[in-house]
Amino acid sequence: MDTFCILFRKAPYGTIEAAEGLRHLIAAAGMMAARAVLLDDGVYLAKRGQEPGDSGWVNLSRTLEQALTDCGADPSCQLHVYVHEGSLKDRNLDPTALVSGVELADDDQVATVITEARRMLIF
Amino acid sequence: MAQKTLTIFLAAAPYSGQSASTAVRLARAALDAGHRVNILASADGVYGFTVGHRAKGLPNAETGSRELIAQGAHVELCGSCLATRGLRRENLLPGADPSSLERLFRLIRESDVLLTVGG
Repeated sequence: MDTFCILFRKAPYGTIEAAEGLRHLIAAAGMMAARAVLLDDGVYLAKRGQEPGDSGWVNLSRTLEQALTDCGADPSCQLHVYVHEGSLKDRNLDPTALVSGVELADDDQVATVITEARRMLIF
Repeated sequence: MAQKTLTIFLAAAPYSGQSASTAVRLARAALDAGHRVNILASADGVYGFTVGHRAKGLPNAETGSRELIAQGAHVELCGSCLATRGLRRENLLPGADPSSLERLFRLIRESDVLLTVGG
């Protein structure tokens, strides 16, 4: 399978990377089997309850959740978003604080997703 | 040696670090070795392919990009990233054209090797 993976390593809002990664992930999901791995500060992308307010930023966690919901309703869409458990623990984040639709992955599972990807972008 | 296609996804701005310069050097080396090179510049990476740089006392990124295009590198720039930054076609180097996510993923699929060079 021609699997494409995007690695998220930066927290949202502080820099453009998470927003750019999300934009590319949504586009990729419409074209091929897409995977995302959130690790290090990238796990904050999936943190529920973000309120960017009038900062000008779109709500990135809500956008991620909506993308997963939309993909779930489309049989042709293949999108999986994995959140690295170790990075959550390092940041004292509970999995229940994450948006729905994301999947937890341990070190081995993250390694498998990355090695199985034919192409990968890093944000 | 079989010719391969190297695609570089470049999100690093020139002058803010070594990443953009390294990407250009990698691309040049691949072209010298007879390979095909695509550069897909995104986010602040698009600034490396604008005109009018006045770099003094440091390597001029515009000159490096011009030379790379002349050497045969295929360069496309994220269209929405250009719009976000108020960059118009007249601000861009000849041979560096606005692109789309659809084009990006098509080029990625057609590549043998994909490198991400970030900011």
